[in-house]
Amino acid sequence: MTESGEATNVTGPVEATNVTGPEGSRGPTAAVPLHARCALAAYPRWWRERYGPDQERFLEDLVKDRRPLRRAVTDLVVGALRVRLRPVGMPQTVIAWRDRTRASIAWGTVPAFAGLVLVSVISQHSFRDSIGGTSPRGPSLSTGGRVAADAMSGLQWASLAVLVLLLTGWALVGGFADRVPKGRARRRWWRLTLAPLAAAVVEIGLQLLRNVLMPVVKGTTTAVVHGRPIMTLTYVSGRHPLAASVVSIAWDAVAVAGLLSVFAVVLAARSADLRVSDLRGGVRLAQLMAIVMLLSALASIAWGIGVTHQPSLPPAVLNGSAVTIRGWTGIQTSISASWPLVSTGLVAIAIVSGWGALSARRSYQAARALALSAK
Amino acid sequence: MSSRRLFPKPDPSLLVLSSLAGGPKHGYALMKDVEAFARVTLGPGTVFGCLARLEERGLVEALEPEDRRHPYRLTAAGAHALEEQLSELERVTSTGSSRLGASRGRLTDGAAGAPA
Repeated sequence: MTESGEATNVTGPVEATNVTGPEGSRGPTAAVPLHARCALAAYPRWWRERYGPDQERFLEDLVKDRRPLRRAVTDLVVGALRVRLRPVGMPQTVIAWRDRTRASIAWGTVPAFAGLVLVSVISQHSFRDSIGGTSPRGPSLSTGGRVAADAMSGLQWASLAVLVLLLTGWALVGGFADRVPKGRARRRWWRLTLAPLAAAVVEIGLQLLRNVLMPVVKGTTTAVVHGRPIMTLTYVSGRHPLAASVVSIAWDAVAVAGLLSVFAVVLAARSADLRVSDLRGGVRLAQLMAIVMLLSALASIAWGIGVTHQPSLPPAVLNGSAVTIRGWTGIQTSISASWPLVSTGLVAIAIVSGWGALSARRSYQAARALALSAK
Repeated sequence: MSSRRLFPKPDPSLLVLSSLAGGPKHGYALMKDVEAFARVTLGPGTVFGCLARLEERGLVEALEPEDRRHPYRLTAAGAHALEEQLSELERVTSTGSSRLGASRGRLTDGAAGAPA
């Protein structure tokens, strides 16, 4: 481009042979495989509108020339990530920046769901009990053990905060019904928005069904460590154990579907024609979520370091029941070994969430400035 | 170790500009041209990422699309930027070549010079 901003052709007139390449690539188009199309879909909308047909044509030429697509697809995925991180060439329009704000809010909040799952997995291992907890009935803990127990408490509080923030986000999206055109689009929008609620109702129903199928309490037993009773376990059994197992499996499946329904809410938010000012709440939500995820990551590191410094505890003894459980030391060891993995996961989530929050703030400011200048 | 692994690949932007200096091309033709003269295969993500960057800086511009693809051509600013970059590279290559020629007689092979 010249200094005056006018583009100048220095290469002479366009020649067809030059444009189509040495061998020419015209003729019937070749089918692009699904995985390559998915890689194209990873780009933001403004990019797909501008460069999507060119890239698709590029892939068709590769297929036509029988060249391997694997490297091209990898290159597309990396390229899409780069464009999402740094939107080079993005048009300076309110819509483009609004879409980027919306996508950044999703990046800032949705990964927290994975963090929630990670923390719940640790909690299910009954970490507190595995090291005796801070209960006076449990065996005494070292400083490391106490740090680990406190960090675990922090993680559980952070999970609660994540849940509250996610519910707030859901409520925010629920308030955008009037931004969707009435009719089919509105009905689809409601279906997507209410998907988590539907999953929760089915979960409760299955839980009740399981309780009906296994209603009889058979007995209780107490776990004893170092002569101290630290935990009372209640066992239930009933008339239809097989049916109850099937219901349990269904419960797990619906739980996974419930977790995935967060993407349905993201889709609902995408399909609404939001104003820039509508996104302010989402930006704040993403910022809060990033802070919570950062604290969670730090707590998980403290927990991991603490638990590795807690000396092994003696195995548990169960009184009055033939039911056996794994030794406490075994559980503790398995958690100790997996903490770097869990902490790495939470740190990665905190980084993505933090980037999403920062990007959401910047994009929101850019969109607002453009909207103001357009008035 | 081959020299290709020792030295990084040339900057894709430079390759794209060099290719467009030969005339307007669309993405796939550009990739094939670069492959022919630089022995570097650029993927579609890299090619269009470069073109977007260069287009934003006004170094290349898209022409009217034909057959669902835009040909790109170099602008005057692009030609100027390419010229500057190439003259810098030329200074390095010519210096390296002349010094290599002068010292060729004095060089020993690596094994002979290595301590026992």
